[in-house]
Amino acid sequence: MNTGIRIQNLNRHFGRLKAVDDLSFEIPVGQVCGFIGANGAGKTTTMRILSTLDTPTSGIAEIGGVNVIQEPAKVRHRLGWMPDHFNVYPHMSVLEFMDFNARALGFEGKERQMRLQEVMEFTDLMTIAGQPASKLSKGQTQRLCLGRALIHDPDVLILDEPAAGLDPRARVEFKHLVRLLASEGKTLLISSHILSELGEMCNNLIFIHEGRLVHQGDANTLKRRSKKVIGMQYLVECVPGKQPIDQWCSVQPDVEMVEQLENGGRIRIKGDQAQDAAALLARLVQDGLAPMEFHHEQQNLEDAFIDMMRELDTPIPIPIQSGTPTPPLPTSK
Amino acid sequence: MSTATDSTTSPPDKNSLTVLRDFSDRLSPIVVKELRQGLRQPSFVILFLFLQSVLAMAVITSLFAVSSASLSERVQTGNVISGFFFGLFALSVLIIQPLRGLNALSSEIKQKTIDLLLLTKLSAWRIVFGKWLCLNTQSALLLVAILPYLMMRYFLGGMNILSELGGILAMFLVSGVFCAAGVGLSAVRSIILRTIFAILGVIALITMLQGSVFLFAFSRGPFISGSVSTLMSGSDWTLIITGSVLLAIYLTISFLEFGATRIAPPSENRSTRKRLLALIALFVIPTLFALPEVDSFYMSFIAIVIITALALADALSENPQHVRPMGENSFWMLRPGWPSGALFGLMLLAANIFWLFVLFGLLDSSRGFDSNGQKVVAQLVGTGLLIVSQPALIIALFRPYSREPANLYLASLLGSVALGMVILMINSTMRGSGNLCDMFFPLFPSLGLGTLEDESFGKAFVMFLTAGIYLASAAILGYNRWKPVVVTKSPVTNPPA
Repeated sequence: MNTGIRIQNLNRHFGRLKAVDDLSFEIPVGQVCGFIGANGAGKTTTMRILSTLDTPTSGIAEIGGVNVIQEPAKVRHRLGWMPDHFNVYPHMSVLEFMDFNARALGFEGKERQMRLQEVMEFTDLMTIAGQPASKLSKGQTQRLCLGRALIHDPDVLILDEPAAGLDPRARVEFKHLVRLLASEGKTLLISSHILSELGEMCNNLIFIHEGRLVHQGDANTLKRRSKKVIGMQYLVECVPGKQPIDQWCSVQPDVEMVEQLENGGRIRIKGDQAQDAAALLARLVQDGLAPMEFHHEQQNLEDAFIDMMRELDTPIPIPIQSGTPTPPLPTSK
Repeated sequence: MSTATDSTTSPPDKNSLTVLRDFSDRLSPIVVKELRQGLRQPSFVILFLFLQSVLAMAVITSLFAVSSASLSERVQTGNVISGFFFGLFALSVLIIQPLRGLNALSSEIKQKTIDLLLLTKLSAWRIVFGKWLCLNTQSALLLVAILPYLMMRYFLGGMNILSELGGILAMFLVSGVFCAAGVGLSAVRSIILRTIFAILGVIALITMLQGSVFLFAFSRGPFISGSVSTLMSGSDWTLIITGSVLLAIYLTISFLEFGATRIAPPSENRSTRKRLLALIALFVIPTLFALPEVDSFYMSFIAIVIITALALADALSENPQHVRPMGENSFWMLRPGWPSGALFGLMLLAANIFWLFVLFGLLDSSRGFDSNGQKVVAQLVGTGLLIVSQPALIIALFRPYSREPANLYLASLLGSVALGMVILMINSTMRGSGNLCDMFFPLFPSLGLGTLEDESFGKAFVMFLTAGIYLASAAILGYNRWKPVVVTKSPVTNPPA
C-alpha cells in the first residue's frame, strides 16, 4: 500500500510544552482523512510540520515517501497547503494573484496560462478573474485559496479548517470540490471543527488530544466508541380526546418521553431492533396515537467527540464554531 | 481535472483567460508581485505626483525668474534648483522609501501570507531581496521622473554633470543600504520597536547629513574640491571607494539576511553562509581602509565595529527552536539559533582582538595614531561588543524559550543603551565623575562611552573580558535549556516520481 502521509513517533516541543507528543499515523494514497482535536490539540502544529513550515523535535514525517526534514523542497513540490487563515494581497485581481503564485511555483509562458485556465475553471474562479482579490466573499476566497494550492497539481493536500466561516451553499460547493479531488486520487488531510462534514467527506478520521493520537478509524468506529444511548425515535401527534402521550409513555416498557410538543410529543424506544419498532408502531395506532414521523436515531460525530473528550477526562470544549448551526440528524422516513 | 460547476452555465466570454503580459517571465515573481502592488499603492502614487508637481512648479518659476537675468545670476539660480532637486530626491530615497520598506515583511507576517510564499519555489532570501529590489526600482522610477527637470536646469548653465551624477549614484548606494535596513527590520514583529528604530534611523541620518559621508550627495564638488580631491587620488582613491562600496554591499546583504532569517522556514539554514560572510567581510573591508597612506585607517575601526555589531546582533537574536547537537554536519558555531550565535560571538570577539593588535602594529605614530588613540579605539570597540553581547545573556536568563528572540534582543539593547545614557547624564552632573560609569558599565555597557577620556588599555581589557563572559554564559545556558533537535532520517526508499 502506497502511503500519502506518514508520521512516526513525531514530537514537537516548545520549551517545556509538548505540542505533539509521540504521534504516529499513516494515510494511504487517495484517501481523504479528517483530523480532529480540540483547540490546542496539536493539529495545526502537525500540519505545519508536514508542510515544511516547522520542524519536529524528533520523529519522522513524510509526504509521498519523502522526508519533510531531509528534502523539504521536494515535499513542497508534492504538497498543496491551505491554511486556516487565508489573506490575499491588496491592489491585486484574482487573476494577478493566481498568476503570481503560478510564477512563484515555477510555471512560465504558455504552460502557466494553460495551468491557470485549468485550475481556475476547476475552482470556478473564471467568472471573478478580474475582481480585486481582497474584495471576495468568504466562499470565493476559500476557492481562491484552494485554487492556489492546486496550481502545481500536488499529490497531497493539507487543508486546515477549510470550511470555517462558509455559508451552507459554499460549504456544499466545497464538499463537492473535495470529492472531485479525492476521485482524482489525491490524498487529503482535512482538519475541521464541523465534524458532521468530516464524517461525510472522509474515509478515515484521526483524533488527537494533547498532541497524542487517541483514535484512528472511519466515522462509524468513532461513533461506536460513544456511550450515548441510541435507539428509534418517533414523532407522535396525539388525536384530541385520547390519552396524552406522556401518560401513554409512562406505562410502556422501554419507552421514554424525549420532548412534549403542543399536539403530541417525541418519544424514543430503547433498542435497535426492527421488530421493536414494528410492535411499538402497532401499539401506538391501537391506542389512538397517530405517529406522524419516525426515524432511526444515530449517534453523530459531535456526540462521539464530546464523549471522547469526557473519556479523556478533560473539560469539554465546544467543537462547533459560533454561528454554525448544529447539523440536523440524518433522517430516513 | 474536471470542473466544479457546469461549464455551460458560465458566460462564453469568461471561458478563456486573459493573458497577463505586464511583466516578463525573466523577472523574479516576487518583484512582479511587488511592482503590481507597489505601483498602485497610494504612498507611492502620492509621492510620485507630489515630486512631479513640485519640480514642475520650481522649474517654471525659475525659468520665468531668469528670463532677463545675467549669466552669473542664471548659474546661481541653477545651483539653487540643483540643491532643491537633490534635496527632494534625497528626502524620497533616503527617508520615505526606507520607511516604506519597514512594512514590507511585517504585512506578510501579519496577514500570514508569508507561509504561502515560503511553500513556493521562492526562498526566504529571494522574497526579501525581491522586496528590496522593488523599492529600489521605485526609487529609480522617481529618478527617471525628475531627470527631465534636471535637463531643463542644464540650460541655466554652470552644471557639472559628472559631479551631479556622482552624487546621484552615491545617494542610490546609501538608499540601497537604508532600504535594506527597512526591509530587514520589517521582519521584527513588534511595531513599537520598528517605530523606535525608524525614528532613531531618521535622527541618525539627519546627523550624518551634516557629516562628510553625504558630501557626495550634496556637495557639487566632491571630485574637485581641495581636501576631498587630495583624499581621492591614485590607488588610495580606488581602495577607499572599493572599501566603501563593499561595506555598503555587505550592510545591504546583512540587513536583508536579518529579515530573511526571521521569515525562513526552520528547514532553511541561513546562518552558516551569513556568518562566514561576516568573517570574510571583517577581514577584507578593514584591510582596504587600512592600506591607503591617508587618514582613512579610522574607517577600518568603524568598519570593524559596524560589521561585528551587525553580525553579532543578527546571530544573537536568531530563532532558537532548531538548536542542533554540536558537531552535526557543519561547524557548530555556524549552525542556526542564538546559542550557537553566542559561540560565533566569541569567535568575532577573538577576531576583533586580533584586528586591533594587527592595526595597532601597522599604524604607528607617523600616521597620527598614537598610544592614546589606540586606547580610545580599543575602548570604543570593547564598548560596542559589550553593548551587542549583553542582550544574549538577558535572553538566556529570562526568556530562553522565546520563539521571537529578535523582539527581546532589540528591546534589551534599546533599554540598556537608554538607561546607560540616563546614568551617564546623572554622572556628568555629579562631582567625582566616572564613579557611576565604572561601577555600572557591565550592566549598562553604553556607560563605557562615558569613560573614554580615561584612556586605559586595562578598561578595554575588562570590556572584552566581560563581553566574552556574557557570550560564553549565554551559550552554556542556551545549550543546556534547549533540547537539541534530533533529525530522524527516513529509511532509504524510492518515492514515486
